[in-house]
Amino acid sequence: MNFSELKKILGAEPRSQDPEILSAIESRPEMRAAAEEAEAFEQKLEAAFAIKTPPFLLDQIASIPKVASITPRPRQTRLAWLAAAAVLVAGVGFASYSYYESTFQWDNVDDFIVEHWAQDGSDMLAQADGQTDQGAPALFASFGIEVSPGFAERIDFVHKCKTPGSRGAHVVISTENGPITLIFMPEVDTVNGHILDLGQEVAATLPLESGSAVIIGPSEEAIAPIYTIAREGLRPASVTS
Amino acid sequence: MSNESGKQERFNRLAGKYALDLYRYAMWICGNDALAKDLVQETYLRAWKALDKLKDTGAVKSWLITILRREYARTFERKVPKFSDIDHVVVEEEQELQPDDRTEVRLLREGIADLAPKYREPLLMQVVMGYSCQEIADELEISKSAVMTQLFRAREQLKEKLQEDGVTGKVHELF
Repeated sequence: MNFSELKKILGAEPRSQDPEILSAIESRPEMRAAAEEAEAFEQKLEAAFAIKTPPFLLDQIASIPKVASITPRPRQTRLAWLAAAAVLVAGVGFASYSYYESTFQWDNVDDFIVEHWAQDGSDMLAQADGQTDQGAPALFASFGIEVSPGFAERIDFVHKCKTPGSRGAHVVISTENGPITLIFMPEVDTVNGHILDLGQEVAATLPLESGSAVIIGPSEEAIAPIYTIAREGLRPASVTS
Repeated sequence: MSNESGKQERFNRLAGKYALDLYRYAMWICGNDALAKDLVQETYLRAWKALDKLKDTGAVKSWLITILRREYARTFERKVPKFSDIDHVVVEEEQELQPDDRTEVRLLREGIADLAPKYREPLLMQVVMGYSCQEIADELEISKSAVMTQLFRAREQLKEKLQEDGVTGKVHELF
């Protein structure tokens, strides 16, 4: 195998393990240098291809079996996923909601999130600024929810608020990326990682062991850490004998 | 119930193992974050429905890629989406690269986005999905020699891009 032939093969398979090619590489210094250059370029190529994972991708995929069982699959677009999520919420989570229909008037969870955020989002963030709130455990206990100490210590502000089907909790949490909002909805079931664009912010729904939450922040990357912490930190209160 | 939970567990393993690579693959063939997520989700939805038919667990990766490619072809047979999001996509470990390397990587990403699909896709399969040339040939239903030619030309075009943009370095001394 001559130098030109090796270059062509390395251009197609820079990491070939073919014994003939490996032997050719070791046969002369310039062949080995060509292989090293090909490997160096390949590493840059791998770096160029290495796109960061979107924060909620795995959660959205994990929801697929649930969504697949709820509705026939429409043609794919993100609108189709919103429709599927809305069907899931409507079909599974709104039994209690109908009782409160006259008081809490939202057709779906998305409407509630948009309206609640528009009305109260900024005010709650302003009230939370510079605060620490130690009343979260007691407030969540009224919903039958136990707040983990690690989660409770991050809470700047907590306040009861209207949510679909019942009263819930509006929470402001301090993070490295600034304040993040969590709205706890005791009577709502949602899918994992349903994303809602609120303009300056994004919201992501989070099913909990009891009820659901929606987490709101400046970006998916900013709210992703709270997603995990909230799932671990808000659990049904244990019954002690 | 145990069948269903077994199926769920099998599905979760698939999602965990291949989702990121599938997203990267989808992102590089359609160049649009929202569409790439839809493609991946659609792929997994079809995979969930057909999971019981999958007998060869060693063929899962190629099975998923085949579903994704068919879904892409079905969706965009008439109109290829605009390659718009690559510049805004964060590259993993970007901060760990030296400034010169970061420049080269950025230029390479632009070059990859500019590659014709017949060069970009074999390169994607090889670099992102770890396919051999024969596996690429099987997937694309072309000869192995054709695949090798396309891979060689893809890399040559990318190297030319680095040269055109004035990036020099050892990588070009022997070519």
